[in-house]
Amino acid sequence: MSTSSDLSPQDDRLERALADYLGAAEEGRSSSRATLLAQNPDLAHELEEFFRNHDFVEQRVGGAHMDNAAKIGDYELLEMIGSGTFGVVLKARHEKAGHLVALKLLRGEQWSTPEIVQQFWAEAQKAAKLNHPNLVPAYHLGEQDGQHYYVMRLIEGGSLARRLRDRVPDAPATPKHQRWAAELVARVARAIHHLHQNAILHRDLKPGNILVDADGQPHVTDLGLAKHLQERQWLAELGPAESQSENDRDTATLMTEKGVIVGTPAYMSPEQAAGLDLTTASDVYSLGVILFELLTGRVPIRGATPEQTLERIRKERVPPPSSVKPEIDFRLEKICLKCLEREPQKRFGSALSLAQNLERWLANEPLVEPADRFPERVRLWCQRQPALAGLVCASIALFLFVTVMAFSTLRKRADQLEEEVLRSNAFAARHVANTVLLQWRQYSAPLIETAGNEELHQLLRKKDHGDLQRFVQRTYRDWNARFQLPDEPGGPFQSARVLDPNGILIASGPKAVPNLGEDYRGKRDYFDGTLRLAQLTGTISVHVSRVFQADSDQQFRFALAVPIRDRGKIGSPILGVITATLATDPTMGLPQLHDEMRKAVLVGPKDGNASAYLIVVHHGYHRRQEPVEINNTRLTAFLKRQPFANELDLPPANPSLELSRVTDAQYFDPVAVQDSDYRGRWLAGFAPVGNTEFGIIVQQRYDDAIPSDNGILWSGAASLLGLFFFATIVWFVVQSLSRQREPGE
Amino acid sequence: MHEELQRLVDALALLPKDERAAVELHHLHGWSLKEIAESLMRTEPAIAGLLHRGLKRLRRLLQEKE
Repeated sequence: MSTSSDLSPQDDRLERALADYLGAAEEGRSSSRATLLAQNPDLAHELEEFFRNHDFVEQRVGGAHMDNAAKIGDYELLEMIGSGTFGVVLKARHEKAGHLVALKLLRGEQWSTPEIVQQFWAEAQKAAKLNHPNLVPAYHLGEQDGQHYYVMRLIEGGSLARRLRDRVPDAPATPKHQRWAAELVARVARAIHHLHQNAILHRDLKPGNILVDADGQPHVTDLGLAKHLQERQWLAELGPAESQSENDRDTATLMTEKGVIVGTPAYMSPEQAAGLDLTTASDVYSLGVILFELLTGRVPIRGATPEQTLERIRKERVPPPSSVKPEIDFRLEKICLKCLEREPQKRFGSALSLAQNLERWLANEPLVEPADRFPERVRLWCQRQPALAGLVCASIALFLFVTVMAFSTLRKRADQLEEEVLRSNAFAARHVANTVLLQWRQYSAPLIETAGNEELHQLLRKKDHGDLQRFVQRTYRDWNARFQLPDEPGGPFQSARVLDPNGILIASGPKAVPNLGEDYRGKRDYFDGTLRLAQLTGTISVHVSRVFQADSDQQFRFALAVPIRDRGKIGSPILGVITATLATDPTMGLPQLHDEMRKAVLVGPKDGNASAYLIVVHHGYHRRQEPVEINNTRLTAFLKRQPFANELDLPPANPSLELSRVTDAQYFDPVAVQDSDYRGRWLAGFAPVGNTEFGIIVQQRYDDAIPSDNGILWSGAASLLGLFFFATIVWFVVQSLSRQREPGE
Repeated sequence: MHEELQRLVDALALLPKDERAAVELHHLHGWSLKEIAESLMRTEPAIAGLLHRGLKRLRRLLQEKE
């Protein structure tokens, strides 16, 4: 008898010749035995023996196939469709009912005692009660002439092992393939859960025990039967458990020093490989191995021999499926690895839980165990609910857009409104300035008249200071009489004065002051300024003096002053200067703006300091208050001007109103230092009083002018409302994400 | 008839596993030589050799019992 260990060149040739012959016969090419013999005369003996043996076995097998007379129980045996651990599987037909079944003939020598038979039947009957579409229980058990058999539903299509073998090796695990694997294992897991609920462990789950029908539905066979084989040590051999299986090394059922271990090494859990007690978690492990193999095309752990495989299963960790096929989804891999945990309690709590997680993976739902992280759950939720996710995103975008738009619109409106208010304030300031100018022109009219008085000229020429004094007193009374109102005794003028061309005070009204004869040159702008203006223009123009503090009562005043020219002629020598001083009281005849929001303020230059300006008239002033200095550079730059011929001329009808020059959007009122009512930001408009250095400010509180408080309040409320709405949506989403589906069974 | 079949099955069980696999796959399941070779990770001549030896042994076993 030749064995594989003593191959001679002759054997080698024989094998090649046989292979050629069989290959040709399979492919339908003509190849006669005679030709083969003729070509290999030296192998004739061996070849003839092969043909004899071949025909002999074919005849026996053919007999098994074809002989309709073959019968067991009520079943006609049709053909052999497989053989396994327990014996041979035949396709059979019930002779009366006519339905087709699978019939398993159990090996004769296994039935050593009636008790074994008893127990085997008890287990099979327990499984027979199961009613699950993916379980194939035995539904009839029989015995004939000492031959035990059982009958089960016939599943045509072959085992999952066959499917695996048919797959192209190293084919990529496409998403479609991964879904197929997940779906198949989920179904098997549900079936196994049903088995577990009926207190049966499968113990030998492997692709060879899973039949796949024409619709691709898996059917689990050999339910729980392995148990008896283990307990009774039926098998003494170290042979193949399923001849159909891919590789004998993976599928051998073997005996260890601890006794027979029933199962197929590659699919065994570490505890099973160690010969320990099995639990439902052991079947879960086997399901994990099957999933691993379906995904990657190979089992996770395999040794050169069954013993080595067991050894490695006991000791080694399972590699991740993606190390074999990187394209495998990491979440599916997590499920697979959880089945393959070495410690049973770390695996899925039940086969159902495995099934549910696979189903959740298939439905793009977050896994319960191992739980997906939040971003993953959000991504999955968006994938499952694209419409709702789009809606949420759209509403967030819309909300942000509306908020930004609302704020920018409000901002724009506030800016527009601010500009409007500034413009109207500048306009109002111009109006007030013109009113002041007209009033000052009115007040200066009697001065101009007096300056042209021939009597005054004579008195000055004669230097008759006594008569001059009387003249001035009389004139002063006349002036005030012109502007006297019935209910207001007195008049606008505080005093009248006449100075000689050298600045010496020579006469004053209403009465003679003690300091007559004092030199005012270089001391009061109403002399110096008037003289400068007169020399510049050569005319008789009115000068509005800088604001000075009176020596007599320390009150702040300013004066209208006119040069006195001889005979009142333009260009003739200057005989002196005549002035009329005006008090800076809070009213000063300015038009009162009875608008609560708008305040008009008169600003004037301070005497003795070329760059200082005082707020001369202000609503916030109390009686006898010292004017407050103002340092608003914008305003002072605006008021500072070259002395001009006619200070009290009206401004041009259409002055260019350059807003940035005549307004200040960030005006702070200096009076606020004394009166807190004036604190805060104001919108101010400026206007010069004619060509004088005086100016008018019309100011309006920013908060009054711009209803920004309300705007911010409303947009704030809208934002809060939107935020609340958004938070509600998020809350619902989170709720639906974290909601765990209750077990369906 | 099933006795004969049973004998065939019992005899098959006594073959060395590789020979049994080759014989069963070829004669019971109708696999081609190439398919068996791929499945058992051997060459086709090697399978032919397994078949040759397996059939010889099987025939002897079956004839012993008769």
